[in-house]
Amino acid sequence: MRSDEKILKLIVSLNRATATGELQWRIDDAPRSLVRGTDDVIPLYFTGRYRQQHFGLFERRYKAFSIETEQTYWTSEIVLVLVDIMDRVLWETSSDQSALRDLHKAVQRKCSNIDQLLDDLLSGPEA
Amino acid sequence: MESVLPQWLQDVETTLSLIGFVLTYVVFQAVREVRLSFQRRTRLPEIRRDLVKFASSLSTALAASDKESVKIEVRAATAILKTARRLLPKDDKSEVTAILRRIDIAKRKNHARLAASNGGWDFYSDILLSIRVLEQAIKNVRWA
Repeated sequence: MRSDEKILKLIVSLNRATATGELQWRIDDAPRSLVRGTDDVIPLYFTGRYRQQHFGLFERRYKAFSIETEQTYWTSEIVLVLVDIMDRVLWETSSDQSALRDLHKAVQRKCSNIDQLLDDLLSGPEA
Repeated sequence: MESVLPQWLQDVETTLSLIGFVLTYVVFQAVREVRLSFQRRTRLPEIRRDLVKFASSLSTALAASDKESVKIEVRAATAILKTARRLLPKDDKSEVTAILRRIDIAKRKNHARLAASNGGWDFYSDILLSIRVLEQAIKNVRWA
């Protein structure tokens, strides 16, 4: 199996573990190494532990430059990082945006507990 | 009845009609290739967008263990993958064919397995792989 295929499988495994509850995510501050010396914006940083490894997942908003219009514009990407216990980033990937966006959506869903919230709101007495 | 035309002229005529036939075939192939190239430019990005959407829905359905939705997304994505296979260049076609073959085998073995968590997540991985193949094909077509 190629290395990029392995990364894709890892993202799918994380998504699956998130769904089954094997992997619990929580909101945390982004490691200093990710925010220091850069204009990138990280609105929300999730961290989770899976098979003795610490993972971080976040949306990175950054300014890019368009060659066609010769102008800068804001764009974003989802990034998955592997961090050590000192919160240092050992590895990061932002390839396979479709898989990462699905994972990010699943994590947001879990952390916000939106499904339960909607059930509660819709089952309650009408205002 | 004996021909009024000399034999050499008949030979030239036959040769020219053979060349004409070959040229017609070459033009037909070229037109087909141009048409396919236009289809690739317009349809492949659309197919990619659809697959991304189906993958996302499938991921949500799998997380919620919604078997009925999983089946629907699998069926829809399979149909789109078949269209993609028709449009993709030869090299990329083989990867999508391999993915479709895996789906067929999984379906034949046990249709319910696809909806179960293992088969469903495997299928989800396959869709993501095919999205990657499409992304590369779109880039190649853009610069072709």
